[in-house]
Amino acid sequence: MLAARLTPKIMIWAMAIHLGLWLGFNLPAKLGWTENPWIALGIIKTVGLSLAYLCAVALNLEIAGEYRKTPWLRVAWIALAVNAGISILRMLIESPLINLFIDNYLGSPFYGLLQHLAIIPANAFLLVGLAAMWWAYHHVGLGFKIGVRDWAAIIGILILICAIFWFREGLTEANSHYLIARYLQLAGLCLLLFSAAASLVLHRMAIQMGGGKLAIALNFLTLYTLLRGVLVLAGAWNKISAPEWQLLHPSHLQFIIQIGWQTVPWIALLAAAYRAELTVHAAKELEQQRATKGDLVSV
Amino acid sequence: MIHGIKEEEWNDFLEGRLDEEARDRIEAHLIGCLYCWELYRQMARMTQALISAGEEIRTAVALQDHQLEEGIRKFYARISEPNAVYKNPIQQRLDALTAILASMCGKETAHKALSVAAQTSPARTIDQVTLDNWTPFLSNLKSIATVMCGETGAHLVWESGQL
Repeated sequence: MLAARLTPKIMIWAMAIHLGLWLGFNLPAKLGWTENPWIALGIIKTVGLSLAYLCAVALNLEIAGEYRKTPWLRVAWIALAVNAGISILRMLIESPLINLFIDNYLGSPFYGLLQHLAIIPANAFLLVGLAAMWWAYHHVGLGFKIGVRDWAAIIGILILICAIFWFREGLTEANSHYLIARYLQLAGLCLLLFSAAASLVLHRMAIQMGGGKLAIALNFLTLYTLLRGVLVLAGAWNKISAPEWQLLHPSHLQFIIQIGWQTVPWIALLAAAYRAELTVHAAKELEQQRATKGDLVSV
Repeated sequence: MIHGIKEEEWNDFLEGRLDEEARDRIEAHLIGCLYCWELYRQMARMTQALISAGEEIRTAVALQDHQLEEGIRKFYARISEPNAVYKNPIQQRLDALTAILASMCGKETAHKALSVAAQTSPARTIDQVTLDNWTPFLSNLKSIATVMCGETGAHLVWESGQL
């Protein structure tokens, strides 16, 4: 069982090493002590984050195997695995290393188009995964309820979607050479924000569960979805807001946003790792119980 | 003494020091008595946990003799409390299932799952769950656990709940 090896503790260490390496190369350059080590940073980003998503694919598929008789949850975890799989492709598309082969790749409109061609299906599968999970837990009949605060948060997210359409000029692809890239970015954001709304419902369920490993996994899924939304919106805010509205210098906020993007895939992986750990512990307990019964029979 | 088995006999049985005749007698009794089977399981688990914990502590902490004696005295005082071990076997099993479910999908979920499983079984309420309606109750609980904890978790619930 892969989940027995990819424990949350190991994943947290891996995330810390990744962030440590990224900051170790990035900070001296930010402070002006070294040249911008963009190749090293590109390798760290592409390899580290692709690896995180690859582990997430493997764990999500292993978890889906736990639900052979529960179709909605099987669909949910397979959809999350596909989301992670497409995100690997996104990491490759977003890799600064491609600049080595194509001049000014990251600054070209073609990059934006490719990026959003990957984001749209990834976000769609994320939404399907979260919605299927919510539907399955809702239907088990344990009385999970959505409160007034959750409805308020969902309405807030819907207002945010309207605001994004209003301030769409602040988005990275607003002036893209490819018209389709402009619409794809808006559609991707809408899907992400609908996912955020679904994840808020799952977070409410996690609170009502009263602890346990499943609640931790659901909370990480919520964090994964919300953090992505917040980072996109913070990026847009950084671009369109007037200087007097900004609490942080734009370059500082941009640096914080970059750190956020370095943690996002690990959070998706941690959600899977905590859910998979539930199965690992249950399997161990089951084995122990069977051994105890076997011992008595053999006495 | 419970069902003709003395406390010392239980201890010797668990530690494998009992003579053949007494051992056969206890084993024969365990096959037919759910109450003593539960007691045996709890004591066996506790003994195993004590052995493992003892091994860990022996390597980690050096205890003085008087500290060790004090600890053992407190432990025996605790397990010999009335109702500490000898609870109703159904209640014991419900408590065990609650603990198993709580570690996987939360305390509240565990309580709700048990209630819903009872409601949809002939028992109708958790207080009415008895040996007669145990199997349908457990089957319902397994179905809920399949959704909340996956198939491995559901197997654990099912096997832990077997009387």
